[in-house]
Amino acid sequence: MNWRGSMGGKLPYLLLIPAFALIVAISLAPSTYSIYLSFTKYNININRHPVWFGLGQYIYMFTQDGFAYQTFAVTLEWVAIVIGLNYSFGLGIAKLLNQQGLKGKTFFRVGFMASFAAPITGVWPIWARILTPSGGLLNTYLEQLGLMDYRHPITWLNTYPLLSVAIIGLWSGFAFGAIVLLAQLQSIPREEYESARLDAAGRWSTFRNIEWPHLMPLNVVLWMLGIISALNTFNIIYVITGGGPGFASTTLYLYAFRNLTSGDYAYTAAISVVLFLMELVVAAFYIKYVWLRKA
Amino acid sequence: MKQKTQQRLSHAITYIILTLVLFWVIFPIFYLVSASFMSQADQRLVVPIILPRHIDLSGWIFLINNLGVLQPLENSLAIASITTIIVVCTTILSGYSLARFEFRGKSAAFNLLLLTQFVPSVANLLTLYLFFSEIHLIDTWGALIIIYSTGGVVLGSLLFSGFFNGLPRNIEESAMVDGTSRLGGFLRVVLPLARPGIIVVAVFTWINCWGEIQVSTLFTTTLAARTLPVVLNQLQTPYGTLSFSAQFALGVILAIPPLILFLIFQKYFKPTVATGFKG
Repeated sequence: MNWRGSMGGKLPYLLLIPAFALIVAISLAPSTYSIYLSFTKYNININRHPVWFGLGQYIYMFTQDGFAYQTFAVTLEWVAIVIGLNYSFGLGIAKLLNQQGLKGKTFFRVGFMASFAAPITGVWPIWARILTPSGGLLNTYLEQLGLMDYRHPITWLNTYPLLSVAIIGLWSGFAFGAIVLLAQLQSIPREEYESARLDAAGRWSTFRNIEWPHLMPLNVVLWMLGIISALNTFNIIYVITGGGPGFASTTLYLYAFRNLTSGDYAYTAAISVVLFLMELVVAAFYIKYVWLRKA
Repeated sequence: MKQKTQQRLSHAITYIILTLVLFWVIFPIFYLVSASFMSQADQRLVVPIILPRHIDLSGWIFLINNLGVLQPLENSLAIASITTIIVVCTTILSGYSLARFEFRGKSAAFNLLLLTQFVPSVANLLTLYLFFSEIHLIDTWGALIIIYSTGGVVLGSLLFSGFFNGLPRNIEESAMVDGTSRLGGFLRVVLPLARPGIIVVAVFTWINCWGEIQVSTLFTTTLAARTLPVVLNQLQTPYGTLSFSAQFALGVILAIPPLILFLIFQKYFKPTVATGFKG
């Protein structure tokens, strides 16, 4: 049976048409038009149709708009916190679950997926409740433990907006990384551990010399996907702080969204083009890594 | 002997940590359900309680009678389900094509799928918003279904092509030797075998649509097509603290169906399948 026999046939293309028609019409074409819009002046409160503006929006963004700088800084901070928290916690859980002879792995693995499956857009009210400064569960317990004075309650979402949202994000997302990392750890051949044991290697050196090299290809994928999804985060910040207080948790993505809802379409487009370029840089690093490994 | 004790100790510590983490995972969901049955008085206690002093349905009743959630509930269910059907039907074909054939432009097709992952959705939504306003598609199920389907098609194509790659070819080949056409082979032999793949794509798509908030916020201005996450998000301002329990009750309605779906089908979600998922 020759599978390449159908190389010239129409069937593979016919099968692709429904899916790719949607992608081209509803994703690719609109995004391309948005790139054009970024070179125009188009604010619904001022003009009804886009007018050519060259690099005007970008010049404004980089030289005059203080909020753009602030949201850029917030974005970098957000990416760093999210990747740091999610990866290290996920790896920790994976390591714990990977111990030999540990029973109940499946139980924990399935249990951990609960917060991953429950949509944050439904669960957020209870987190807002837990973090309420006065009368919230967290501060009440902190006070009972003597860690906080009730006259000066910690206003979590105002004082530490990014960190609070990131920890809720960890709750709703860590299971994914943990389970994928666990699968990768489990794929390491037993003999490699055995030889490490014969060399009387300690836990740390086993991790560094055997496990880490095995994890590395997956790490790169996880980090890349993590950075991309952190740059594109919308749901969790939007429902928990809405980007506030002020601009304290407004990332570039939310800043673009804010401009979209306020009607400055050209500026929305310019911000999203900058975001797109940042994501391409990440993708380039990834491709370079994959290419270097193959070479 | 010493090693055995050491292992036992390390297992004990592991169990303690894992149990604490599991508690942290489950507790908010449990608390959400429990708090939806609290009375107004329970909600306003200075020292918060975890279980209601008595089961109080006023939040649920207020939610259903006063907040008009039945239309959004219908919207959410219909939009997520129609999208799921569209995505499964289109991507089982595209995934099969990408996995089973060699043809010109195949790697271009894959690159296109990857490229869409690097485009921030807001760039895409901007133009769609302008266009859909122009053709009066705002406030319709159609607008949301089209956009959700496109997102689902990318993920679905990748998941299905991975799935078919893992499915041995000789089954289809023997069917074709028996004289079945390629299309006949697909329908009679491949489709039944694709059940696990269909379940994974369907569950992922449905859960993603069910919890989606950005598109629904942008493309709806009335309850005609608005979905539940947006309703929940907009509850806080006009009703304030009056309806804490109602807010939690709506949270329960949103959180529970994905949990049930996931529990029923969890054996199909293997880590290899998950890597195609955009976090």
